[in-house]
Amino acid sequence: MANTLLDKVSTDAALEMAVLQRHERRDWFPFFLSLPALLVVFLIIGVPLVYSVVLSLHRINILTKQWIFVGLDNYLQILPQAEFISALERTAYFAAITVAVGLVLGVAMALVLNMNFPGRGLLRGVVLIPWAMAPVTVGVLWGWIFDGSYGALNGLLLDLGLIDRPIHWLGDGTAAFNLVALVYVWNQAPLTALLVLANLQSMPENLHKAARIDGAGGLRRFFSITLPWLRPVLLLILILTTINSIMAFDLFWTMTRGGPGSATTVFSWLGYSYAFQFLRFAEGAAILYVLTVPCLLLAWAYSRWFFPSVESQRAAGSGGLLKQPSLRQLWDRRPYWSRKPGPARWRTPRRSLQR
Amino acid sequence: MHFIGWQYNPQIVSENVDTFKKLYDENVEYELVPGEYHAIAETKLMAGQHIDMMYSEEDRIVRWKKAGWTRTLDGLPGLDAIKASMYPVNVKDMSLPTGGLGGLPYYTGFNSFVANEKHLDAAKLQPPSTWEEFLDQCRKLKRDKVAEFPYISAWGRQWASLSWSLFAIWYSEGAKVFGANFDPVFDEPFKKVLEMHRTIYRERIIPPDVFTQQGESVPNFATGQHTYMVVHDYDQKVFNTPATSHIAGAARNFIMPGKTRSTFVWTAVYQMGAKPVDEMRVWNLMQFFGGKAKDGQYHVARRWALEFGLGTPYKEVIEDPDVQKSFSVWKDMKIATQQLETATTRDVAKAMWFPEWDWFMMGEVQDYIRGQGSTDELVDKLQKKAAEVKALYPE
Repeated sequence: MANTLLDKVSTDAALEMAVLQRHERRDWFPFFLSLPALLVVFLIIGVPLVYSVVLSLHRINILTKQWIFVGLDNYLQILPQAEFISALERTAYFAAITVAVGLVLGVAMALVLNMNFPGRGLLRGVVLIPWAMAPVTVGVLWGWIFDGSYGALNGLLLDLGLIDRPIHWLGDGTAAFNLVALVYVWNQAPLTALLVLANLQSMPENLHKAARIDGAGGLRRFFSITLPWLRPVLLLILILTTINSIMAFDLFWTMTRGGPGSATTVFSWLGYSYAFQFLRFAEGAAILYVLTVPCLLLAWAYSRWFFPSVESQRAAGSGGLLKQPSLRQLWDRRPYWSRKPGPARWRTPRRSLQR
Repeated sequence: MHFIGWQYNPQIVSENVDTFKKLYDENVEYELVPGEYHAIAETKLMAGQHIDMMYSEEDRIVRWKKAGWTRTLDGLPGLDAIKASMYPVNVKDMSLPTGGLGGLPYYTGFNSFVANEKHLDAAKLQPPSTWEEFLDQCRKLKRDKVAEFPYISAWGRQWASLSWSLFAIWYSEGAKVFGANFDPVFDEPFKKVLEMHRTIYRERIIPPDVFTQQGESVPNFATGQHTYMVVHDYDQKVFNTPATSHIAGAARNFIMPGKTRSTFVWTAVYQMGAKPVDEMRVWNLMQFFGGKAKDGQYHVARRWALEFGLGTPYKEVIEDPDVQKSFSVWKDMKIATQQLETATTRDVAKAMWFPEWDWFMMGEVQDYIRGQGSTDELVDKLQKKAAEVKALYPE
C-alpha cells in the first residue's frame, strides 16, 4: 500500500517536472521582461564588485592618483600578517558565538511567542524592538549602559546590592569583545525569532496532535517534528546570520572602535582602517575579499549539511526545486538523535498528513 | 551651494545657515556628516561630490589642497584685513607651509588642564607643576580614597581624543615629536610621557574602560568621580553647567604641568572647494561662517562663543565684553590666556601623511599602555611607520 502511494507521488512529480521543463524551454518572454531589472541589479551590485576586484589587484594612492598593478601581491602581503591572523581569529570567534547563541535564543523566543497566552500580541511587538533599532544607536546605547562611571548596569547592580563597587565592563579586552557579541545577539536574535515564528505558524497543527495522541512528549515532538519542519528556514537564518556576523562593523565602531588597543579588531574594522583611515583602498578591498571566502564556504557547507538529499537529487538531474518537505521526507531526514523506530502508523504516510 | 560639516550641534549650524540665507537671499544646502567625519569627507571628495564649503581640522588643509579638492583663499577680496583681525598663532595654524591661507576659522581650542576643586580641597592639594608631582598626587588621592580614579582624559582611537591628549602632554614636557622636515624626534621627553601613560593605566589611576568611553570622556569627568582631566578647553563649560554636571562651579582650569607648561592648540577651519559653484557667493558664505558678515557682525563665531564656549581667533570677538563675561562664568580667563600664550601648534599636521601616522599611532599606543611591548619597541614601530607613510607622499 505504502509503496504504491509513494510510486504514485513519484510519477506525479516526474510529470510535473516534465511540464515545467517544457514551459521553461518555450517561454523566454518573462526573461525579456526581467532584463531591465537584472541590468539595474548588475549595475548596482556587479559593477562595484568587479571594480573592487580590479582595485584589489592594484596598489593605489587616491591622493597622489597613482595606480600600480601588483597582481595578487596585496593578498599575499596581507595573509601572513599577525594583525590579519588575529583579526581572522576574532572574527571566527565572534561569528561562532553570535550565530550559535542567536539561533538558540531566537528559536526559544519564537517557541514562546507561538504559544497562546494573554498579551502575546504585545510581546510579539516588544520583542522586535531591538532588531528595529539601528545598530549605531544600539552601540551608543549599550556603550552608556556599560560605562563604568555612570552606566545604568552598574547603577542597577549597586542598587540591588549585587556588587559593592562599579565594574568597568569594557575595560578588559576579552570582556569588551564578549559584551559586543552579547549586544549583537540582543540586536539580531529577534530577526531569527521572527522568521522562525512565521514558519511555526504555517506548521499544520495536526502533526503535533497526532504525535501527542501517540504519547510523544514535548522534547520528542520538538526534535522530531518542529525542528525538521524548520530546517529550510534555519538554513536561511544560518546563512544570513553568519554573513551578518562576519561583516559586523557598526557595534565595534560605536562601542569599542576596535579597542582597547586591538582587542576587538575584527576583519571588518581592519578593512575599514586600511580603506578609510589609511586610504589604502586596494589592501582594504583585498582584506574584505578574503572575508567573502569563509562566507561562501560556510553557505555551501550549511546547504550540504541541511539538504544532502536535495544536493544528490540535483546531481541526479531531478531538478532540485526546494519544496517544503513531506512528512515522509521529514521523517527520513530526522536528526540522528531521534532515529529510533517511530510509531508504526508514521512509517506509512497518510494522505491527510501530506501537504 | 553645498556645505558639509561634522556632528557638533547641527541644529545650531542649520539655524546659522537659515540666517545666512535670509541675510544674503541665498540658497545653501547643509549636509551633516555623522561619525568619522574626515574619512567620510575624503571618500565623498574622492568620489567627486561637489562641495563648496567644508569643515576640516588643520591636518587636512595641506592634504586636501594637494589632492586637488580644496583651494587657498589667496586673491579673495578683504583677505588681508581678515588676517590682521586674527591672532597670529591661528593665522599660522591655518596657513600652508608654502604660504596662503587654507581656510577661515570655525573655532580654535587648546587642551586644558582642569581640576575638580572639591577633590583638591578634600585632599588639601595644590595643582601640580610637574608630571612627577601629578603622579604623586594621584597616588595620594587614590590612597586617601578621595578618588578611585583621579585622572581621566580622552584616550579613544579618534581624531580628537588620544592623539590630542598625548600631543598636549608631549608639548607640555618639551617633546618636539616631529622636527625639521617633519622627521620624528622621539626623544627622552617623548618616551617619558608614554611611560607615564602606561604607569597611569597600570596603577589604575585612570578607569580601565577609558579607551572605550563615549563622548570623549567628558560625561565621566562631569560625574565628579575624577580629580584631573586634560580636556578641550570649551568642555569646561559643560563641567560648570549644573544641568550637565555634578561638579558645576568646582571645575577649574590650571596651567598644564610639565617642563614647558605648554599645550597643544589647534584651529578648525572652513575650507573652500576647489571648484566652487560661484567663487564670490561661496566667499560670502565662508565670511559669514568663518568671519564677519556683510552687516559687520560675527554672527557665527559670537554665537559659538556665547552659547557653547568655543574660542575664536578673532580679537574683536574674544575681547567683546559679553563674551568675556560669558567665558568668565565657567573658566579662569587669566589662566586660559596665559596657557594660550605658551601653547604649541602641531606643525606636522601640515604633512600630507600625518593623519595616517596619527591613526596608526593611537592604536599602537593603546596596546602599549595596556602592557604590550616595551617603550623602545613602540618607538621603533612609530618611527618605521613615519618612514613608510612619508615614502607614500614624496614632496
